[in-house]
Formats: sequence, C-alpha cells, structure tokens
Amino acid sequence: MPGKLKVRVVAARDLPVMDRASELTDAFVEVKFKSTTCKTEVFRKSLNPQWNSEWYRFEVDDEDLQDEPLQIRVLDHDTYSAHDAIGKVYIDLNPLLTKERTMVINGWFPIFDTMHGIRGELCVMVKIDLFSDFNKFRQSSCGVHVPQGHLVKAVHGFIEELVVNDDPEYQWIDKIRSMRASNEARQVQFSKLSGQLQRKIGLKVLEMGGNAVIGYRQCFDLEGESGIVVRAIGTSVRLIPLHGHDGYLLSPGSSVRPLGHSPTYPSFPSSTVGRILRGNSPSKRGSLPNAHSLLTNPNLNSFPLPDDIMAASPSAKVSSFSPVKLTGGRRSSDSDIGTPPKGHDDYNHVVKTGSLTGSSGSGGFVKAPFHRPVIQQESIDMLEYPFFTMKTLPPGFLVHVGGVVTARSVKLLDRIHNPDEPETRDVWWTELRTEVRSHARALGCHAVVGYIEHTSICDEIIILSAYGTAAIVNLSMSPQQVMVTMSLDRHLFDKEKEKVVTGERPPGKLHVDVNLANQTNKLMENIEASIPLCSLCHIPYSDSSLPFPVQLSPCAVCRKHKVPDVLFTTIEPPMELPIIGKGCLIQARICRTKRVSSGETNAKEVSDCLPFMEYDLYKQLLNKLKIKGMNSLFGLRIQYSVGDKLIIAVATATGVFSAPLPAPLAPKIIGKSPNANTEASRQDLQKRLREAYNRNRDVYNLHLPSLTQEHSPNVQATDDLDSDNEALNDIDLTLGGKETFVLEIDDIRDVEVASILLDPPIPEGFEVCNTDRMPGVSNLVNNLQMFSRVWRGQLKDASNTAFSKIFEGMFRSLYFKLRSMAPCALCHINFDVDIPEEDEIQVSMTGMCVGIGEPPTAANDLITLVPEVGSSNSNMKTGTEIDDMQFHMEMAQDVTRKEASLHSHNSTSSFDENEGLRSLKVHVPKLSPKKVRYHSGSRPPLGVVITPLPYLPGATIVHYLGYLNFFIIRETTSVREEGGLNGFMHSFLAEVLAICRAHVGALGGNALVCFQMTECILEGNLHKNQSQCLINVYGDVIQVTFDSDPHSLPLAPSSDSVGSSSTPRTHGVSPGRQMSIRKSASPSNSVSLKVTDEGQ
Amino acid sequence: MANVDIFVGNETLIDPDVYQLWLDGYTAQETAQILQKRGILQQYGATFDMLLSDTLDHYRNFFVLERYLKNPVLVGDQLLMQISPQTQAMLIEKYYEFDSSVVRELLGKKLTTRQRNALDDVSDKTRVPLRSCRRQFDNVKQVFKTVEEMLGSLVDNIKTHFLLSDHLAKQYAAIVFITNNRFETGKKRLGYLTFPDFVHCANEMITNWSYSSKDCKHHDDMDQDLDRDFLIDLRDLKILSEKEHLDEHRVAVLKAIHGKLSTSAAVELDHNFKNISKTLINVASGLNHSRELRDLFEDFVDKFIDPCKQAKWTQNDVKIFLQAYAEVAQQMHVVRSNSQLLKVWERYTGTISSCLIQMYHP
Repeated sequence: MPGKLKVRVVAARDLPVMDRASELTDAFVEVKFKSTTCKTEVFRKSLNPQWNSEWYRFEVDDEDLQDEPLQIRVLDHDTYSAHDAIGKVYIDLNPLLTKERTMVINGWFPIFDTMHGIRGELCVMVKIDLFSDFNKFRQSSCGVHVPQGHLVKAVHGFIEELVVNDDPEYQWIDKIRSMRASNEARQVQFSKLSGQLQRKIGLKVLEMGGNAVIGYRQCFDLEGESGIVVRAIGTSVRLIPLHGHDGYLLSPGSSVRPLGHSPTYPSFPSSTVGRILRGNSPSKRGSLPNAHSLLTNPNLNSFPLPDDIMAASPSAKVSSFSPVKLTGGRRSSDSDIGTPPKGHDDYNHVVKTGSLTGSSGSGGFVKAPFHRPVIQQESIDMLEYPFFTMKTLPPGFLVHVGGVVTARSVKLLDRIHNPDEPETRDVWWTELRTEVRSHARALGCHAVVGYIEHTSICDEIIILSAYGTAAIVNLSMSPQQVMVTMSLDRHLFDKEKEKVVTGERPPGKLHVDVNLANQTNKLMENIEASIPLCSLCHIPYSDSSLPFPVQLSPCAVCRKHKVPDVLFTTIEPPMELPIIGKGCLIQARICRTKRVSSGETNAKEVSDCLPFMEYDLYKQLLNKLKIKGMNSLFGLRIQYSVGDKLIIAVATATGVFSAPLPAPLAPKIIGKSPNANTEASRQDLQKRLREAYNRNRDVYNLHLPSLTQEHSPNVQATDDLDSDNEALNDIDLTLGGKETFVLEIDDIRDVEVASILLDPPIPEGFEVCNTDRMPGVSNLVNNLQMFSRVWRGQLKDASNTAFSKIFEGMFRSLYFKLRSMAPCALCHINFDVDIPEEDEIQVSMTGMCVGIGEPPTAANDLITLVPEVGSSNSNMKTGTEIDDMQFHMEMAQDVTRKEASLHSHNSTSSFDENEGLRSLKVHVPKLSPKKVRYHSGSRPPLGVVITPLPYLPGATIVHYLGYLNFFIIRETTSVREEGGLNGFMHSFLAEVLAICRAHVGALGGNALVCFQMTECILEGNLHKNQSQCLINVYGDVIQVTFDSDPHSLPLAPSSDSVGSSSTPRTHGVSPGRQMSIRKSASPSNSVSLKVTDEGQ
Repeated sequence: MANVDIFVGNETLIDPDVYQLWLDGYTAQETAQILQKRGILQQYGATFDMLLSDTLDHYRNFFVLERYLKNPVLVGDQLLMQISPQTQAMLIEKYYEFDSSVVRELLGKKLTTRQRNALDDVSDKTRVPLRSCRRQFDNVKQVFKTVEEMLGSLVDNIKTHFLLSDHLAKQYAAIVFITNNRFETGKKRLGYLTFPDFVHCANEMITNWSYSSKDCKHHDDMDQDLDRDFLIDLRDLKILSEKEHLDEHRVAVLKAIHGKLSTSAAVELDHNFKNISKTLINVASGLNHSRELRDLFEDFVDKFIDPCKQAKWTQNDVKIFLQAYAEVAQQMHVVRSNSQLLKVWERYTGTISSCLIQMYHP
C-alpha cells in the first residue's frame, strides 16, 4: 500500500546565533525521508526564520513509512565552508498510518542536537495520503498499532519479535567521523529498528486475527560489539470501537454494569463506562467508525494499561528454607530444553528446590507430583506460550493465582556465532519461555499473566530474565459477562468456570477500597448481595500434593477453600480482590561482591551467585511484608545488575493485606544466643520489630474489623477481640502447628540482616506503591507531578545495609522534595539500577505523585471496613460448612454493631444502639485528620501531562493517538560549563521530556500515559570534560478531557467519584492457530542457571 | 558521596523562596543555609544534604531558565520547561525587579562592560551581593538595548518585549529615558535624590515632553527622545522674564498666595521672586542645548531647591507657590493672547512643578 508523504516547513524560532559577527543565523532546512532529500530556501539573517515552504512530497512504500523516521535537519548556510548543523527533528510516522482518520502532525518541535541539546524550535506539518490497497498479501502492517491499553474484545495470545543490527558506535567508520555524526547514525538506527520491529509485530498480529497489541513492551539491548537488539513482547487482541450501538457497551451483563449498581461497584460502572459513552459517542462517532482503528478510544481510566503483570506466589514458611540446600541449583551449560529445570528464580521454586530436590537436573520437585489443572484447557494449551503481558486483567479473567514463575539465564555475548542474525537470541528467549511455562504447569496453572522479559548487560555478560505470575485464567468469561468472545472453545471454559464458580463466586463483586461516602446507605443495601471474589487466592494446585512446602489455611472469606499464607504476584491488585486497609511499597535490596574475572569464569560465577541472591530477595521481601502486617505482594519487579566486583538486585512490589489470606502474626525472633551481647541486641531487635509491626498495622489500617475495637474503651469489645484472636489463633495452630512468622537469628550478621527489614517510616501525608493504583486509597483527584530522579554515587561498602541506605536516602529526599504536595500518593514508583563504574551505583527512579482528595467523611474509614465484614458475614451465612460457630457469631455481632454505628452517623438510622454510637465516637476523633489541605482537583493540569500511569485522575480519555518510542542520545565536550554531570543530566532529562511533549502536542494529544524511561545510560570522562547519555522513553499519546475543565465535554453527575476505576472487560480468546501442544509437562521448578557458551 | 543527584519533573515547579534567594545572588550552599535557619528542616524532618540537593535542583532549573528570562517572550514559547502562566509571570517580574539603591548607582551612567566590572563598588556600597548587582546591571542594559531604537511608547515597548507589569515597566522606562538623555544624576549635590524621585521626574517628562506626549504633533519618532519642537518653543518663555511681565507676574503670584505660605517662605518670596522666576525660565530656554538638558536636575537643585531649603520652605510652600506661579501666568495677557505660548507654558510648568515637588526633601 504505497502512500504519499507530504511535509511542509513553516518556521523556526529562537535559533542559536550561528554568525558571531552579526549575531544572526542564515538558516535553511533539509527534509529527508529514506534517501530523498528536499531543501528549503535560506532565510537570511534571522533567529526566527519563516519559510512557509511548499509541500514537499515523497512517494513511498508503506513499509518504509513504518520503518523509516522522517528526518528534518536545520542548518546554517555558509557560502564558503560546509554548512553548520543546528539540529535535527525526528518524526515517527507510525501514528499517521491509520486509515480511518486523516491525521496531521502539526506543531513546534524542539530542534535537538546531540552535542548541544535543544536549540530553538521548528514548526512543521506532516501528512500522509495512503492509497487503498486491495492486495491481501501485505508486506506491511499499517493500521496495527501497539498501544498499551484499551477495551478488548478477544485475546489471541502472546506475541514476540526481535530484530538485530549493527551498533554504529562500533563500526570502523566511527573512528573517523565526528561525534555528532556517530550519534546521529545511532539515533537513526534506533529509530529504524524500532519501526521495523513494530511493523513485524503488526504483521504477526494481523496473522493471528487481532487488530491491536496490548501490554506492549519494547526493549533495547545495547550489546556493544555484537550489535543492537530491539525486542518486544505483547498480547495480541481484537479491540472493538466504543460505539453507542456496539455490543460491548450495551450488552447486558455483569461485566458492564448498569449505572444503578454503582454503589457497590463504584469504581468502574459509573465513572468509566459512562464516560466512555459520553466522551465518544457524541464527538467521535464519525472519526472512529471502524473496528480496525483499534486504539482510538481506550478508556485508560478504566483499563489500567497492562505494562506489567502480576504474579502471585504462595510462599512457604520462612523458617523452612535455608540457602545451604540450594547448592544443587546451578548447572552450567545445560541446554537441554527437554529437562526444563534451568530456571531458578521463582521464590517457590527456590523453596522447593531447596527443600525437595538436591539437584535441579532431576527436575526440581519431581517428587511432588504436580497436578494438571482439573479442567483441560485445550484452547489455552493450543497457545505455544500461554502468556499474557498485561498486568491489569479484566474482572473474571483470573480464576486462581498460583505464584511467581521465573527463569533466568546467563549468556556470553562474545560467543554469538552470527551476531547479525536474530536466531541466537531467539533461541535464548525460547528456552526461557519454555521454562517459565513449565514452571507454571508445575504450579497447576495453565497460563502466565503479567509476563515480563528483561535483560541486564555488563560487558560480555548478559542476564536474561523472564518472569510472570502463574495463573488459571478464564479466557471465555462467564456467560453473563457479556463480551462476546471469539474463542472456539468457550464451553470448555464455561465448564471450568462452573466448577470454580458454583457456590463460590456470587454474581456480584465488591471493590472494597472504594470510596463510597455519598452512597453509604445504598452501599449497606448492596453489601448483602455482593460478595468479594475470593477464589483468586485459592490455590490452583491440589492441597494433597503441594508443589512445594506451603502453609495452607481456609480462605478467610468463604472458609471453604484453601489459601496460601502469602501471595506474591507481578500483576496489579485485581479489582475484585477484597483487601483490608491500605497498601505500601515493599522493596528488597541485595548487594554481593564477586571476584573480578572474565569470560566463562565470570559467567559461571554470576550464575552461581544468582540463586542465592534470588533466595535472599524473596526472604527479605517476605519478612518485610510480614512486618508490615500484610500478606500479599503485587506488581513485583526484580532487577539484577552485574558489575566487575558487584552484583546487585532490587525487588520492588506493593504489599497489600488481602482479605482471603490469613493475617500475618507479629514477628518473633528465635535463635541461640552465644553471648549476652548478641542476646541483648536480639531482644532489642525483637522489640523494634514488634513495635514496627504494631505501628504498621495502625498506619495502614490493617486491623481486622473485629480488631478495630481494640481502641474502644468498651470492655465488651475487648472481650470480643480476645475471643476473636483466640479463634484465629486456634485456626492457625491447627493448620500450621507453629508460629507463622519466625526469624532465625544466630549471629551478628543475622542481626544486621534483620535490621534491614525495618524500613524508616513514611512521613504523614505520603502513600507509596509501585502499582498503577494505590491499594486502599481511592480518592486520588489530580496528577501533581511526574518525576524522575537519578542518583549516582559510591557504594560505601558492599553490604546490604549500605546498599539499602542509598534507597532509603532517595525516598527520604523524595518526600522532602515533594513536601508541598502532601497529602499525595506516589504511584508506579519504578527503579532502574545499574553499576556504571567499579564501586559506583546508579539508581534511576520514576513515579507519579497524585493528589489525594478529601476523604468523604470521617465515617468513610468505617465504611471501607464494613464491606469486609459484611461480605464475610453474608458469606458465612450462606456457607454451609462452618465449623467454628463461635467465630462466626462474634463476627456477625460485630458487624451489626458496625452497621449500627454507620447508620447512626448518617442520622437516618433507626438504630440508636448505645454501643454503636459509642464506638463511632471513639473512631471519629482518631480518624478525622488534623488540618490537612486536601487536593481538590479543580485545576486542570498544565500543558501536556506525562504520567507512568495508564489513567489520569479526574479526566476522561477521548482518543488514543499513537505510541511513541524515542531513543535519544546527548553528548557534550563541555561538562563543566554545563554545570557538571548533574547539570548535563538534568538538562538532558528536561529536554527528553520536552521532546515527548512536543510530539504529543503535534499529534493533537494532551497527555502521554504509560510513560517509561529506561536504559538511562550515563558515561562520563570528566578528565576530558566529556560525557554521553542515552535515554529510551516510550508511552501512549492520548487526548483527554478534564472533568474540572469547563470547556470539556459535559459530564454525568457521577463522574466526580474519582478515578479509581477499572473497566469491566471481557476477553475471548481465539487461539489463531494450532500450536504445538506441550503435554509433557515437566515439573521444572528447579533453581538453576545456565551458562551457555556458544563457542563449544 | 553522590556524583549525580537530580530530580526532574514534567512540570517545573518553582519555589518562590529559593528563587528569591537565587536572585539575591546567594550560592546554593548559602541558600540552603539560610533556609535551614528558617527552620525548614525541623518542619519536615530532613537533613541538610536533602535540602542542598533540593536547592541544587532548583538552581539548575534557574540556570536553564535564565537564558529565556533574558528574553522573556521566549519564556512562554519555550518547550523545555512546562511552567504555569502565573508562575511564568512571577518569574519574569521578579527577575527584572531590582534594588532601588543599586539602580540609583547606575542611573545616567553609560552601560559599558567597564561599568559592569566596576560593580564591586556598587555592591560594597549597597550591600547587595555582586551577583545580584550584575543581574540588575544586565537587565537594565538588556532593556535599554532592546527598546533604544524602537518607535512608539517606551512603556508599551517594554511591556511587549519584557512582559513586565505596568509599575515595573514605568521604572524601566524612566531608567532608559534618563540613560538615553544622559541626564546628570551622579553629582554629589544630587546624592540625596532617590531612585523613585528620578522615576517620577522621568515619567513626567516622558508623558509631557517627549514625542509620545499628547501635545506632540508628530509621533513618529522615538519615545525616549524629547520633543525637539517643544524644546525650541521653550525659548519663547523668555518673554516672561522681561521686566514688565515679570512684575505683573510677581504681583499676581504674591496676591494669589497671600496668607497661604509659611512666614519665612513668604518673606523670601517677596524678595526673591524675580530671581526664582528668572531661574526657572532660564532653565526652560536652555533645554534645547543638550548640555543644559543633561544638567536639568542639577540646575533644579542648585537654583531652586537649595535656595528654598535655605529659606526653610516647607514642601507645602513649594507646592502652593509652583501652583500659583503656573496658574497666574496663564491669566496674563501676554500668555493668554498667544495660544502657542500658553500651551508651552502649561507643558513646562506642569511638569517641572511635579518634578520639583517630588525632588524637594526639606
């Protein structure tokens, strides 16, 4: 499908002075596409030239349109010598390649020079006329975009692609060309590879019958000598346009609820779906009529972009594993895929390996026969890799969550036979994916959600990681969940669903943490009808044959099914999961020394080390989680980085108290005390842990409903508490027979380890998480500030304590920095660690500061608790097999009291039970905040919003306009003059953001969501006064209207219930083609790393 | 310990306190210490390092911003930093604000590099940090260079090109006006005059005597230059110092102010009216010579203000006298019959009255 590209150069402003004598510039512009170049006239003696050029036309293949960037270069004309470069503008044409809409790129772009940064701005217009194309056999994939979020009709499955090319920096010619030429060659190369990759992905998607990619993640691996690898993973889907008459929105069903239900479902039905209709049907109908224009209206508000994933891993008792047992975990150069256990990473697996298998070669926990999922999931088994890259899944999609599954391997880059061909890397990833898949099967799960791939390169060593959350998913969705699915095998899933759902998944769902103040009364009515979906947490494997030692207990919600004591996941907290209190960020940081070596020895050493680090990471995470009084982790991200002498690893996740899982008990320390000194410090530590645990429970409001009475002077309440506790303890004791949370401390080193567990408290007014939404805080009203922070410095000594200090320091100074914004939630905190030099650590941190609005009333806190109580209560009533009658009674009684207090507060109640009133009085002063200035969200944000989140609080997404991915290089030979490394880096970051904003604006958008900054590579040679920095950024361009903006579209009254919404979506999956079915599910959960050396 | 420690946001948020300290010429270290003394650390439980890192982030932003602030029109257009319009206005306004004491030192001087290098003295004298002096000097020079050659209203030009408030634009207009006409302001005798005094006088002159004044017949020339026709016409006022008119004028004035002046002033006036009037008229008729124009302030002080001060006139005396002096003459036949002369008289006396009253610090 050939097309005509038209470019017009309008003007420039604020150009640099190129002629010292006149202090002016004679500027002209070269417009280059592929090999064709057009030039404007020279506009003499002006810093603000106006060319108003004609339209330059380029007749091109659409394949080129996708692969090639449009390159616009601004130069200063010089009669006698070579023209001087002022700077360049690169424009990615992919967003223009929609057939449905005539889009134009029109706006001011910063003129960027790799040696000088931004030098003025250029106004250009770009249009593309595409000729219609009837040839079905397409070379290109015009029209398939790679967005990161939207509404989905069918899920087709995992897609991946990988392209390789030379790195111009390492070509021989680089020795003789200027830095600028080298940087520009590189930038063009990045841009071309990215275009090529997206086109190939697009083709694959079309082949599968999809029309969009979600959960798209594109990464650059700078391998150095062996080239640049650009790879992407995503999930192919079919999107449907959000039209008023479209089946999705109008169809009756549980996933799309009528607005009337909003009280129970405050998050999505009223605000999101309603908004979509409002936003799109009137204004957009003409513009996006075709289902092919996939991404037009993602209501990102409702569907958090799947950039990550969740993974859950049930964990075993801490005390049960010890690293010593892991020795068998690593094997080098075992490339046999048939015996899968090469991975090593899943926490579970670590545990398993440790305790059950001596050698991973024999297949991890072979001895624990794992059970295949009860129901044959043929459709999903037909997928070669049943992976889903989204981290937010539609309600009903997840059935059970198993645990985190991980595979890692260490490779040597200088042993690649054909560095220019992608085959070798394809093989590497295939091995890892296969391993992840088999790990998932071992957990009784048939799918992996929240799937992520990551690399870390240090010289010739590359660590490849693939991880995700093993889960049982429901691809067809329940019948009442409307989304018509394309999947052929729907009945299969229905069967499975029946089994799972019957008697345990009531039709209604409840999002507990939503702010319901306005609808308190309605809420109370609805509570009986709606019961949280606790099945998510139920174990997917059989409890008679555990894949690894795990402590099971009955689900605290339904009390019928077994749940693990702890759940680790890489996904966003599912909307339907009932949670208690608020969530918070939990981070484990490990730092180890290694010997300086190279080649194979080095690789071996690294891979030897990894399992232990992984083990330590999980242990630290688990302990921190328990001290926080929580029991599940979401959004888990793990990153390794290898230096010459150091290996570091950082795991970041958001801890949450999931209602179905048992409450963690207070920490206890055991251990022999060889001398009094240790004993004293042990006791001290015990005390501090205890205090932290109690404080955290208060801070995060984690008390079970019955326990909230603790603070009541009411004697009877205290009695209740005691008996409740007793009851709970009884249960735990009968199940586990031991304390759940024990720290073993044998020597000083352990004490140190344990003291790391005590995070400094977060100052008041701040909430921190690494998920898109802040669990337990729903009244987020406006974006305050997207921030990126880069820290680089010496690591004092290679200890975990020193390493942790860096992060703690970064957090503390972040709080200080953002002090004027409290109360606020810092969401999507993302870390990137690197060891750029010996002993030097670089940590890049990005995140979004979101303003917290006024909590509706003081009673609100009670309300958030009530659903818990109410639901468990009603559940218990309906349940048939409740053994513990006493417990049940207490709970019920408690609920009544709560309800009473609630009603009385609303002053509409007929209850005037003294007790209720009293407990209310007790609560109100405690909960009512001191003079806190909450954010109102009334001011629409400024200019172009950039956010790592998939949604904008207080805004409605109207259009999806395209995906941006830039890899920008900046170099300087005058570091000192630019304010040192700090000044250089600071202005470069600001420039990168400015370039992003300009592209968003030129596409007609006003926000960039799912923004990520990766590959922030800073190299400096201060002696030469020279420095170079590379940054890769990407995100989705959207157009939004702000609720508070008077000019925006009229909004329905309910829309002010702030943006904590999630969209109901149903997915159907039609596995496009037969794939090799892997029935030989090998139980591959061993910890092992593989060093493949290509040379042998 | 940290080699790199930076924070960059999508929106560039400005802390007005830090900005002010930066403008005042303090280094990041000094600023952090000042803020520390203000108790910001205790308030937020932070360490000094955090405060310093935060301050440095702000300073880096200011450093980048400064390029745009030199040409404020760019602040709104630039894409590098996303700043709210209110903040932009604040940034510009504050950047161009100055210390009267510093600018008073610069008034009437040629804005040369040599002058800039001599700012140490100004800094010592005014106790304003050198860096701040330099900024103020550069601003004045920048404004001067930009509007020097422009046609039209001086204040409007400044407002358009520097996006300043009316108040600040008028002050700059005064500086440009004084600098352009090279009025002498640095003499020792003029030392007591403050910057606001000059601003007042300059603006009066711009309004009434320059090419943009409403009485000026052709507006096509530059604002900061005085209406040459008017200056030439001023010579016609000489007629009032002829004996007959002088006597008539004197009698009428004395009559008009009878009983209104303080005793000492009345006595003095009785004796000296002729001298005073002659002086004022001489000044007027000399203004077409650029040399004498330059010495305008000096002449005022020498020939009018100092004698009055010696005679212990109050400011009120000066006011009443000047008012009467101007009004009474308009009733005199010689003036009334010549509309051209009447207009020139009004234009002259109105302005100098206002200036003299402002300049008169008893």
